[in-house]
Amino acid sequence: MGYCEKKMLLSQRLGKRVSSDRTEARREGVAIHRTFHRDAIAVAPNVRSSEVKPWCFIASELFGQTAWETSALRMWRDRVLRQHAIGRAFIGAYYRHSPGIARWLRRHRRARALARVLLRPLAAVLKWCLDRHVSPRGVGR
Amino acid sequence: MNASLGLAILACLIFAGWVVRAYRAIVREEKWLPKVLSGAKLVYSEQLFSGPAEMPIVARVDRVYQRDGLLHLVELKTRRSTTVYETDVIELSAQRVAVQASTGIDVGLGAFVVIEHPVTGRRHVRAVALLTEDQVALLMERRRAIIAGLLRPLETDIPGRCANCEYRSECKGEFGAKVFPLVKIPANGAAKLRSGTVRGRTDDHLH
Repeated sequence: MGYCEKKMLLSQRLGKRVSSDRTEARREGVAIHRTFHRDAIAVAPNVRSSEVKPWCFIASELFGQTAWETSALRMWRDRVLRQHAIGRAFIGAYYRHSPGIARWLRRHRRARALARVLLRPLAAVLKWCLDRHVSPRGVGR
Repeated sequence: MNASLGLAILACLIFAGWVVRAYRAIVREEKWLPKVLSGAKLVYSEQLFSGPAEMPIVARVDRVYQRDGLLHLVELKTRRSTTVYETDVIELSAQRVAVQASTGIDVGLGAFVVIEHPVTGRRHVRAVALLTEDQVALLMERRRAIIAGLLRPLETDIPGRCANCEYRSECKGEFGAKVFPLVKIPANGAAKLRSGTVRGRTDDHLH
């Protein structure tokens, strides 16, 4: 509606068709919307969203959202950092700055490789510490 | 010793780079934000909302700002021209109905379309006046009537849209394709059309 009523009806009757140009434009649009959303989180960390919040921006960028390194860093944030005022301040600062860092890392292959080398041992140490010292009651807090 | 000093300098440089980039992100945000929204609280980003029971709308809103108890919608579009289309207004109007129904908070009839150029990344902001809830309801009614074959759909008056349309052959009967029948008027539908109960009400508001 608003674009062309005939097109709306034909797409209802014949099924949705998307040209390759439109597909490409949509892909660009999705990428720009992602950046727009990350900027929103950077300026307002408490903003509400139905999107899965990519809070571990840097780890997600380096290792992927479901990697064990990302999970370890996320657990450390939830079980250790979030329990103290200083930790919460750190999380706030991290949310503010990390989307920009993640974007920068995406464009710089070497820096990404270096950051991966530096962060992986840290994630391993944190995982080891969490496995040893944090009781299961801390989960999900 | 030299190695650790080098690492410390590198860390400082990286940190400085991070700070500069974060600062730029904030400046970039401030650059496009219209004056009306400066100081407003950003409450939602990429949030899904559902309309009231009588209006089955599900809308994903790019951003919602709150100021003086009123919510304001912001929609991001990626395009080379800075034109705002009727579809943008309809989309935002449907979002307004859904946000109002989900949150119970009034949403302003004025909204903003942020148009970002896909290559330069430059953003332009356009203020738009939205349709009222009644107008959105009429539009939905018209859509239902067109799909049911009770109303003849209007064709776009922008020639460029036809040239790139994926349904051009069926619409225009080109390339040997048969023109698709657009209206199938059942007995009661014809009566409705004659009395103008469907077309009259919608057209008054929308065309």
